[in-house]
Amino acid sequence: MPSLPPTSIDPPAAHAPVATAVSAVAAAWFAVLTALSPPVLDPGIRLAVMNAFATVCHQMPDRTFHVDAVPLALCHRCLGVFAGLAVGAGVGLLSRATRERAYVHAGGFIVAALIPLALDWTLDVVGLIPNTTASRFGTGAVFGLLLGALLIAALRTKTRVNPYAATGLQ
Amino acid sequence: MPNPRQSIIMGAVVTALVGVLLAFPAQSGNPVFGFVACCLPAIIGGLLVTWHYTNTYGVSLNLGSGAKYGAITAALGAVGGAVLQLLLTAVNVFPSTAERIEMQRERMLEQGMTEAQIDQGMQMVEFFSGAGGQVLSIVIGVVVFALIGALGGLIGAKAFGGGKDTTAASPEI
Repeated sequence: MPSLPPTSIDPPAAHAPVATAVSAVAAAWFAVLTALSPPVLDPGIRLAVMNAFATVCHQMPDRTFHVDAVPLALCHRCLGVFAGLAVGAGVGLLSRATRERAYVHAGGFIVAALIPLALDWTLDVVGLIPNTTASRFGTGAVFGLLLGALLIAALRTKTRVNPYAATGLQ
Repeated sequence: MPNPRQSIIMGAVVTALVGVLLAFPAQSGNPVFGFVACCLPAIIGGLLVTWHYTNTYGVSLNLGSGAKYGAITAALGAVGGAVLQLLLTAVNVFPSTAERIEMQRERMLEQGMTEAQIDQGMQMVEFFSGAGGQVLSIVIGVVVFALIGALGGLIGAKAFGGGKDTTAASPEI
């Protein structure tokens, strides 16, 4: 059976876009603040938080920031990603111009987010340029910042149905 | 518009399985696989759900829907992975609670804690090795996975679904 051509039909937004976007920003800040919290937590709770983040991060001691000799719950790169995500999503929520720019140039945002991260990781793996704390955190932050802004732009963009999409008409 | 349930379930199952597979070496302290494991299951889930949805039904997918499907998929995958790990622990494939507690003691020693801090910590570790700790870990895991899954869904919607809809020229409100 031949596959159907893509259509432009998508369901209208079922929930208030603002509420969804605010939830995403809140989740991003919750994640980054929880990841930063181990140095101020009781040792047992600290370990529970560390264990929770162990599912998404290797937490290698030599690749993790320490505060008062206590490691944070995410490595340099992952902390950069989540910190960037929280800031980028926050900026995206507050700035309409950022949302518009992100939405219109979505492909560019994604490529620009991925390239520094991929280069930093690949050049280190092949042994050309070893990555550093700053490069890991920085490239992670760029990734999170750009995709955080794009995420909010996407969530706050109202969707409407084009009844003529299947015919190619707009 | 086709219901995305089938794609989400398929993506969640794969997310859970990849998460559990990558948790094996990470739990035994292998830094190489642990490094690769970073966020990978959630991103795979987000990419997979958008790919399966657009490919199966021949529709385009806007970025917002891609992000939502990715977030739901990864969140369900996080819960599924946690349940799977509990089952594997019950059949002794994963370390038991007692073994994990001992591993935590070793981690505290590596962190340079004093005996008093370790004793105090171990009381909390034993508490958090129970239901309370499991729930806390799952809640944090779901939030973190949902965020990363949303990013995977965004990328997937752009790559596989065109990332476009009829509002592309007039971004909201």
